[in-house]
Amino acid sequence: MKNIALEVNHVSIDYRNLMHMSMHQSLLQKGVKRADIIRAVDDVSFTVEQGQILGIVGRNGSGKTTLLRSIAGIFRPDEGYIDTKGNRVSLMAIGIGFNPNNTGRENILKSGMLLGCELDYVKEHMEEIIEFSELGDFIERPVRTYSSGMYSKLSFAVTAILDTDIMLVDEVLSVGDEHFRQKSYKKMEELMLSDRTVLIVSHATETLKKFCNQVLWINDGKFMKLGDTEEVLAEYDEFMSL
Amino acid sequence: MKEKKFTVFKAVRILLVLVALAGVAAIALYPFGNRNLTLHFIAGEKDFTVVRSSAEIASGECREVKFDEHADEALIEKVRIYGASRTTLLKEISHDELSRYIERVENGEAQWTKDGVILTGVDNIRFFMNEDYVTLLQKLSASFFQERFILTGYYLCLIVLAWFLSHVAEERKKEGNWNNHGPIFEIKKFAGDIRRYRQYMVYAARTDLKAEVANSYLNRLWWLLEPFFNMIVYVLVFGNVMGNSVENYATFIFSALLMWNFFSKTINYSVKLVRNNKDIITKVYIPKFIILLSNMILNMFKLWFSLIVLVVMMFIFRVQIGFQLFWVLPAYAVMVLLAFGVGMIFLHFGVYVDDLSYAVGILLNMLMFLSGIFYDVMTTLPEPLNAVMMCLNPIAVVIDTTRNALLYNTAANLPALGVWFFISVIFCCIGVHTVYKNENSYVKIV
Repeated sequence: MKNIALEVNHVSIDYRNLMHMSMHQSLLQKGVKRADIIRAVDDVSFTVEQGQILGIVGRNGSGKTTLLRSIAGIFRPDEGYIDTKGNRVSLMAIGIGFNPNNTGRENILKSGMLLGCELDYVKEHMEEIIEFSELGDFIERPVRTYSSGMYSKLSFAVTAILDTDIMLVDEVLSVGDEHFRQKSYKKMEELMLSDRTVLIVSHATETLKKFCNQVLWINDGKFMKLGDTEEVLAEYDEFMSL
Repeated sequence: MKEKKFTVFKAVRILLVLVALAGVAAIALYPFGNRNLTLHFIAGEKDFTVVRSSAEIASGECREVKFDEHADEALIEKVRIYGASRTTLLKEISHDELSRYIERVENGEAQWTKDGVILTGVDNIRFFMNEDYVTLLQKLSASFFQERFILTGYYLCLIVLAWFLSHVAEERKKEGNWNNHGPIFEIKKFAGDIRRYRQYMVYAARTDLKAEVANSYLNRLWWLLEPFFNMIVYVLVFGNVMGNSVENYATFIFSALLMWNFFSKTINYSVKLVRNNKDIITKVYIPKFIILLSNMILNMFKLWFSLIVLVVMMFIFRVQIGFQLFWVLPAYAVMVLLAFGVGMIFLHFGVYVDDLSYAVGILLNMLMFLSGIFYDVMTTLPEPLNAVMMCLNPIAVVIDTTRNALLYNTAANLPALGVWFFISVIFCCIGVHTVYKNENSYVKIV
């Protein structure tokens, strides 16, 4: 048995409805009403072995993104704990820390460092990222001049090339044109063979079938099933078609 | 057994609060003895100092002021009176006021002009002062007003240190708690985060700066032009229209304005920090203070540019500088620490309370006019208020210290600066602690 790369133990995450609270409101009403608390993830536990590719499926609003975000360390779960065993985790998202007025090159460095890489390391891989993103001369232009496809291609390239131990992918495989999509699929296959642990959230069952060793299914924040890809997906499809 | 330990620490803390209250009351009420006064006669290039002991002042034997080793001619601009601390100004007497205190002059002549008192005569010229002067000195010698504030400040800092140590002790005692959140843990985490993100901080500041000016014609020149033209506006309004009589008024304002700009920009930014950086915060974990520090580095870059203007201005206006210029550095250090500490606290509340940014705008505006950017706090504000301001308003303290070091080559307010240094450090600790404790829930709200 391989090393465990990630352990999620009885994790629950609440959202509190505190949006746009005015000073007046916050002074008058102390604390938060119970009714305003929404439980997005409810008592979910699972472990992922190193090098495994885990797919996460579930309906919209079932807490998949929330779960990924808390694995990435963006917020701490309200109950339970997540242990990444000291691995570096990156959430693949569109344009981390991109400043539209900076050139593509500068933004690569910036988001690379935000992902926890050293400056020199990002610089070393700069050419690789630029090549992978297929931006060509655009790399020296401000990001605000990019088309949305170019923008997401650049962000995908940054996270795909820079080596983090655990990679979290949130529905970004459908980035760019057909050519780039094939390329990113190829990259994913490469990752699969390497020792990186990957968690993919997707609604595209085809994609999941292609890449994943295992699939986790959550519904309304609750843990439903974790197991073999084919098996879980079949059950999930059945559940969804109702 | 474990329960008991916690109650011990709680008891210690309650005791600390009581000790703090008792100590503050004691400092406020204790009848401190009279103090010696140091009178500093500012006379162009040659200043001279007269020290009067408390006994002399109390018995009224302080009427004679003798100017010993002095040339035949001198121009006295003003007299500054200091108390127990050689750098805390108690009162400044202008030459107009001085003339009211002089009864007669021996061994020479005194002439009152617009610029000051001109002394002419042989050596050993002497002033004999009148009753009013004696009463003034007696009053100054007896009051311990500013000192009491400063002592209270140091005392409270000590109490906070003790409080902090009690938490450290508690953390040490508590074992096997994997979700550890004591002060040692947090300091280690803070240091680790700084080390890990130092490259990012600097690089982000650089690229943000670049992005700011990328599309402007004058580019970096704006960093020079902006403060410079601000200064010109203030000089016109406060100097010419309001008729301020400070010499070198442009440098006087500019030296303070640079500091103030840095402080207010940092605070303004920190209130809206989490909302403005939603893109980063919702996508990757980053300690929030890194973003604030990065912005402070950015402002620091701009400050460097403005300092060039300041140096040029000092050169043009022939400001004499000396070794006391060194005090600019501690003053700036205190200001930066304070900006960071207060910024962190506002950062936290800015997430939860939407309209805090308006309130902070108003507060900053008030603070700006109370901090003596356009005037000298000690001489312009009425009697008790000026001393209170010099103790309780950190911005006034750092501005006064900077200005004295830059323009008058004197060290000023060192005890107050020290107090505010410690208080700023405390603010930083509180701010970092609150943000560490709550930063995970920021994302859910934005």
